Amino acid sequence: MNHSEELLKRLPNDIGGQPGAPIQRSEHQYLPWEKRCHALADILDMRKIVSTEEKRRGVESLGAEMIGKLTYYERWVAAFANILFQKGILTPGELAVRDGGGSGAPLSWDGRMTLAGALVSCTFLGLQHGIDVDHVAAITDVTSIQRTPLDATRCGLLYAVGHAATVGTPGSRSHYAEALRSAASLALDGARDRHDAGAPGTLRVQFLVQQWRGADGTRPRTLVDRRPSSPPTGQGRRSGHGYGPKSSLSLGVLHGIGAETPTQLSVLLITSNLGGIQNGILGLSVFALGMFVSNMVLTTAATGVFSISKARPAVFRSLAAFTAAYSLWIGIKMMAG
Amino acid sequence: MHPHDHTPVVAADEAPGYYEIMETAVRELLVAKQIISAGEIRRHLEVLDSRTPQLGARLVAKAWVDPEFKKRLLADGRAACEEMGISFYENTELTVLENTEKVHNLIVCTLCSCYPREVLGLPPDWYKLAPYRSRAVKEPRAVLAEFGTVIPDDVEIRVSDSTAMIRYLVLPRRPEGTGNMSEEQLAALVTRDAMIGVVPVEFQNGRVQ
Repeated sequence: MNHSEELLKRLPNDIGGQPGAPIQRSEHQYLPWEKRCHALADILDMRKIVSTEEKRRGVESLGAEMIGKLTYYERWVAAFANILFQKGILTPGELAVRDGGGSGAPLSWDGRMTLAGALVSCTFLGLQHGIDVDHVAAITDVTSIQRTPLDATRCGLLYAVGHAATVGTPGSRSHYAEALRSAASLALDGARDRHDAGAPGTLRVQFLVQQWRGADGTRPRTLVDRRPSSPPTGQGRRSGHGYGPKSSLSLGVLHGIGAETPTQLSVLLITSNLGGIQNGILGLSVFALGMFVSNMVLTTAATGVFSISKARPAVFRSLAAFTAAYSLWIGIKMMAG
Repeated sequence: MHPHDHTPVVAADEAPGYYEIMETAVRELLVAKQIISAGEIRRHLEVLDSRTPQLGARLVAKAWVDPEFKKRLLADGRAACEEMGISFYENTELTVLENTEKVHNLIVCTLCSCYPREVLGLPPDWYKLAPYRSRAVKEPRAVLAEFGTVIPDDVEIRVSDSTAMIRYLVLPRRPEGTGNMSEEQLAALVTRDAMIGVVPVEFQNGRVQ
């Protein structure tokens, strides 16, 4: 077996049974920071944030060269940083700011990502995200209740514009950070209180409550004419108006802030690792563009199907019931995390 | 004993290194985000400092003098520790392996450094380094010989490879001539390395070695 085959079959940690040097009975005097690092590892394990096995794999994924060059606890801390980036709990930018440049440029979690490759990935993620479950649910809801195909297309378009605008032009770092924080809260998956996640988490839950209530067969009335924090009332169900242009746009904006799907988490992880806020915005912009394109295709398709079926009330009713049930299911799934 | 292979022991007032700064930054960010608290890190440092091989030695000595305790220790190491007031902070099982006339046990972690920290504290450097991890499972007799331990050919050597979930502790054989000793005196004979399985517990001519 040649050297590369050996490397393929054995990960760096897997050395049991390999030949080795004589044993030096060396003892180690733990430095204070190494003890703190050990305590941190135990606490992360106890709090179910990073398990012992995840830590071991994190060390392994540093690669044989790094494993050979770093000391035991240096490997641990490098692994923690990468694992916490992957989970969206910390961002490379935060770490670089916090340590005052002490640990240099942000780590990239696969070390090989190029800007061009990442932008292509972002575009494809955008195309995919445009047909993610929450978009399908929203667009079918929005378009199905419009009187004319033109209205439906306009509302679908406004949804796409609102959503793309929110994602693609963060405007400030704070939006970007908030979106990441929101992603982190999802990634933590109950590891801590959802309330800590702040506004985006709250918005997400609010949106899903609306989505869920709206999809119970009666259709939602408005999304943003009501204050997000107002308790659900029966009144809304009886008031007569459906999704208008304004609420479609707002629904898109709200989706941009709050409703995370795996695709959105992926794009946030990629863009946060591109290095620099400009590259991050560029990544988000091409993502938004891809999403806009696939949303328009989806809107056109939904409008067409609904307007054809409107001639046959029975078909339209069952189609509407089906999309409502679908939205209900997506809403419950996302609420349940 | 010489210090770690890579890192020289530095004076306390030396400027913190790259990875030390990174550790501080990661920990402080997690505290700032209220994911962990500074207090729990501090309390856990005290827990780590309180874990030394003396705890393991107490278990071994009690097992030597109390056959009922020994049964419980071998049946469920973690439960027996908790009975002695030794809490587990990691979510692990503890399997205690008894050395006999016919069987000698040795523990290792080939993948990393899994170790019964609750009862032995932090592992020695050589336990975490490649030579011991790679060779212990392949040529345990040669490895033991490098620790000055020669196991007769008619004694079976069992090597147990630890995992993140299952940790091992060796229950060494009680040395000859210790029949009149108290549990505390016996505990003083038991060393960390004997509970890893690389050396026996020794007692000769009334003199502790």
